Amino acid sequence: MWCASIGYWLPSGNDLMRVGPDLALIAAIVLILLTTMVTGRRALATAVIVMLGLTAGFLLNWNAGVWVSHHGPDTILEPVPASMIIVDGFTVYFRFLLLIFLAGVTSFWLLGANRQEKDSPEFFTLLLGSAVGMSLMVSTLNLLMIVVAMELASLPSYALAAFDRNSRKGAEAAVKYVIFGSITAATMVYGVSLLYGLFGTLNLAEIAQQMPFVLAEHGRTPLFYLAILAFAVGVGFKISAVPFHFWCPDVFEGARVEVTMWLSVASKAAGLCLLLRVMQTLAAGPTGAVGEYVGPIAGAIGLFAALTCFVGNLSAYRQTSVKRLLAYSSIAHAGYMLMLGAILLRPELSEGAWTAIIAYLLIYMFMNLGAFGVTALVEHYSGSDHIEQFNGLGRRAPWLAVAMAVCLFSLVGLPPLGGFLAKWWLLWALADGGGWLWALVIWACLNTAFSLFYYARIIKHMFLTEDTREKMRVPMSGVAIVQLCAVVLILTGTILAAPIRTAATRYAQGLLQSRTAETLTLTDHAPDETHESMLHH
Amino acid sequence: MGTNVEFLFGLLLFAAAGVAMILGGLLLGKLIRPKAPQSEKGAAYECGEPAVGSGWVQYDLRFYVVALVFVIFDVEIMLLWPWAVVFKQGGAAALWDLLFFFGVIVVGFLFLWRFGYLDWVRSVSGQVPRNEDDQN
Repeated sequence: MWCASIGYWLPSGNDLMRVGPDLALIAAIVLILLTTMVTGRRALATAVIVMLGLTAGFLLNWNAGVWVSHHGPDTILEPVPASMIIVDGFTVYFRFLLLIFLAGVTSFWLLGANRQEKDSPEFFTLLLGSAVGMSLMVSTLNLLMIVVAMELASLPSYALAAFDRNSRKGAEAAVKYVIFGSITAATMVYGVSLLYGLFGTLNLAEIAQQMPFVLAEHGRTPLFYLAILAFAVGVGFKISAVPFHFWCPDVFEGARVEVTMWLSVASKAAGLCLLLRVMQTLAAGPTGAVGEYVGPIAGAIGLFAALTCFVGNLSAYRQTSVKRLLAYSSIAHAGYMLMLGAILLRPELSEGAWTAIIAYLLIYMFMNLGAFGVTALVEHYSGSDHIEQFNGLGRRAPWLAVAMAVCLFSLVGLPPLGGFLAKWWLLWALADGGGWLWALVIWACLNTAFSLFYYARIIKHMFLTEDTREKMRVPMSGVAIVQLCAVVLILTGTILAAPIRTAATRYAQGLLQSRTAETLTLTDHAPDETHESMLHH
Repeated sequence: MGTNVEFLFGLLLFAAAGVAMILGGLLLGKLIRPKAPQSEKGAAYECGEPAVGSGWVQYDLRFYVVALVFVIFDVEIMLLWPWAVVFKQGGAAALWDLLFFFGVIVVGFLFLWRFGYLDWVRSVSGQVPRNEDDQN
């Protein structure tokens, strides 16, 4: 049973290179703590170490990406618990996304009043810790690893939400976050234990293969759905899908804006990618079983996705806190992206779905970085993120206002911005499925039209509302970052559209090849006596 | 579908039995226990000593720090246990694995030590800067 070779105890250098980016982040954490012990708490030194760690992670990830494109996906710790860590094109892509976004968040952190911050080592230890967790969430198919990675991503986030110790709202947000998070995590662990009880394995790829054999026994199908539902509760919390979204606006409003920025993209993207990977794996099971057992799950995901974007858009409408408004907007966007979960079980559609999600996440990251970046600067220089503070921003800080307008129009999905193409590809992938998926397409279009109202409200405050306050003095570097986001959005909507589509397709194909390869190796020992579940006896 | 109905019936029976066991116990206790209300019964139990003051006081934050540090090392010991069981198979490689793991945790421990989170007697909050390097 246990393959007690040296290889298990001491992974080869080659294997370690594949997880290099995660190790670089961990090394950065250790280095931050050690440096702080020697030199005392210095915010700038911390930020430099973080940036070094991110650069190292970026280079190592590049290296891993080249390796994967030459050798195909790598499953680390293969002999013992297969699929504990999977490094394929999608993992590499997600890590790139995470590292770039971390760099953006760190820059905004430096721009704020944080340079004198005494608690910078703690802040970045928590931030990088949650980043490692998110990176692991996306690179595993092992249920235990999923649970551990999700906790690693969640626990630092709870502390980050309450990082301003004197802020009452922050404390309230963190308490809501931690209570909600622990209940959903407990439910998820319960679901995982049920899955393990049913299938006798923690490997989702094996679970997918054994579905028809195990679930043929009477009474097991409802139990299977119960397990999947409990599992989805934990993931839904991360994505802030609708019945589990209540923490999201409070945390986004209460936490400091860098944390909000981080949670709005990274945490959601990680949860979403995890869910899509799980769906993709379950859909790779024997054909008959997929239609019978996975089909209803896909339908349920579609329903929840529709509900999520509706509730998000509806609640955003009356918000006066811009952070809260953007929180609801991010719920709505999570809903749009979740819709793709509904089509992953159809092999002919999954390539389009993955291409769409890869492009959407990339563009969504820049939209949110820009919108939250402007909000961060406005909040910092006027003391509040109330929508009134945006009054006359077009005159007081024209460069900020223009960048904000571009990001907001892109969030609506208006051409010729990146957000339009992202949404177009997403709806196109859905429409390809035909049938009831058309309902989702129409629903998403209606929601998009509705969302225009609340995004436009901010723009109205910025350009059409008179305000006599003097000009806002914002540091050039801050303006440069939000402008960069705006330029990226304009470029991705126009001349960069084709290259992004090509790159996304390539990543998606790499992902699909890796799944089929795994399916082939697993079918050899699908109905195994040792995997008979304990429920049988 | 008959099998599923059967399954759901079993589930329902299980849930009902679970609820009945708790409610039944409480109800039975209520029926047969003697009733002798005394003021001492409502008081907080403090190892048999008479309690001083109310239980609703604000606890010192230091207890939480100590509890957190304890939990971290408690969990670490838990992770050492499976390693110790199969240590012989791993040999020297296993030792390096664990030293690496332990090293990362020790860094966190040293950090706590360096910044005085382990000192029971600390500066009174609000009067003295939190750390000695705050002055430079």
